[in-house]
Amino acid sequence: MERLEYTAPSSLDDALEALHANPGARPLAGGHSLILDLKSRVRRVPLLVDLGRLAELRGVRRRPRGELEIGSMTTITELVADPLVRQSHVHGLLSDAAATLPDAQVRNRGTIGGAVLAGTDVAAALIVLDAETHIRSRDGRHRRISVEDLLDPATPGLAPDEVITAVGVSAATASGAHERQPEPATLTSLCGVAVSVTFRADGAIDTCKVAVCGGRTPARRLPALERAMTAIPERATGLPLDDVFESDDVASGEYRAHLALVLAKRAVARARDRAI
Amino acid sequence: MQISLMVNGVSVETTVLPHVLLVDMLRDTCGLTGAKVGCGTGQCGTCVVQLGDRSVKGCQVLAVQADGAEVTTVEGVANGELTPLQQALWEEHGVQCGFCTPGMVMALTDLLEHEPAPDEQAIRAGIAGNMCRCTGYGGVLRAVRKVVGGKP
Repeated sequence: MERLEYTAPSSLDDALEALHANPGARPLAGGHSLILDLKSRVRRVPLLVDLGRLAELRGVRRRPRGELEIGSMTTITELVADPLVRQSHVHGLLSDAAATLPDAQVRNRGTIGGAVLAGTDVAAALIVLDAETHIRSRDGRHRRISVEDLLDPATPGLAPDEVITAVGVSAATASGAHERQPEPATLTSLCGVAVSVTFRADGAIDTCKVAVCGGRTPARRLPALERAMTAIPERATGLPLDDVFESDDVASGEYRAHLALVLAKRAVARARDRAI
Repeated sequence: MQISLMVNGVSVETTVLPHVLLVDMLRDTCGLTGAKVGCGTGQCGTCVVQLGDRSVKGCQVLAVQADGAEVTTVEGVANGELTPLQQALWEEHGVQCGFCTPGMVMALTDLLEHEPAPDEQAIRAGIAGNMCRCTGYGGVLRAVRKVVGGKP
């Protein structure tokens, strides 16, 4: 790894100021992608601003309207063990998604904020929960944007001097589940599908949100799959999903689209089991 | 950068460059060569140590990030005699060439501290981040089962 400068501010304002004042500076959270990139010299960063000392970015709080506010530096291990999360409808879905991370050490160190930006399975789960990121930059400037919009390649994404401080998950009650097909060598998801489903009294699906991830495709909602799952999921076949996923040296986009349909059906079935 | 931390219960004060990895500092500065650098990309798990009360990959953490923290390496696990986990690894032949063993011990120590009665799935998930090139997983699993339930 090349030499670099490092600072570990004890206040968010100091961290934001350091990011603004030093072009090219990057915030350091769990480090699983950033430190790896620095080692392989894919990225060069003159200054790392470690967010690890900011207690205000850790932990889960319940807001007055029932919303869960998850501090962005909360680790995935802390998230799934948190009492507020465990008591909430989001626990099953987030546990499913957390289990997709390669191992306990990554969950111990990896953060919810990092998982949002990674745009993989945890982000897909957050998208179907309508999760919103709380973003700060210096001088008290702040904005909120949904995880879905933040990951949308058509939107500008996170600016270099912005920091995700929290992820908000609404109090709505739905039953969620996540299913995926891992790639054996890396244990990353060839395709991952998160669903959040509400059922009518007669057991029929009332609403169904579906988000997918896989390969280079950042997690995103898939309306065609949502419509198919809301109709009769077992009969869904031949959906127009071929352009959703890119092909790469591991799997074709067509195969990933096929997986998306199969996994969505499984996830809806699991969500149904959880709802009963 | 000046940092101070506790390593295996001993206070360590040292100066370290910000890009130095925790595992390298432990090996080169502290002389604790139990944690090893296998792949260097966070996949093999030979570098696993405990930072605070949780296991982490020592090659994915900068030494400066451990400033003020408590770090435990495999050298700090046994207190005069082997822990039940280490003893079971010995008895069940959970060690072959031994390169992965320090990481296995640290990952499993974390697992057993937080989940004293893991089921088979949890035991296997507990070493998902540790690769054994001798493929000696059977012995490792028998050892953990023995610690948890008394039978291999």
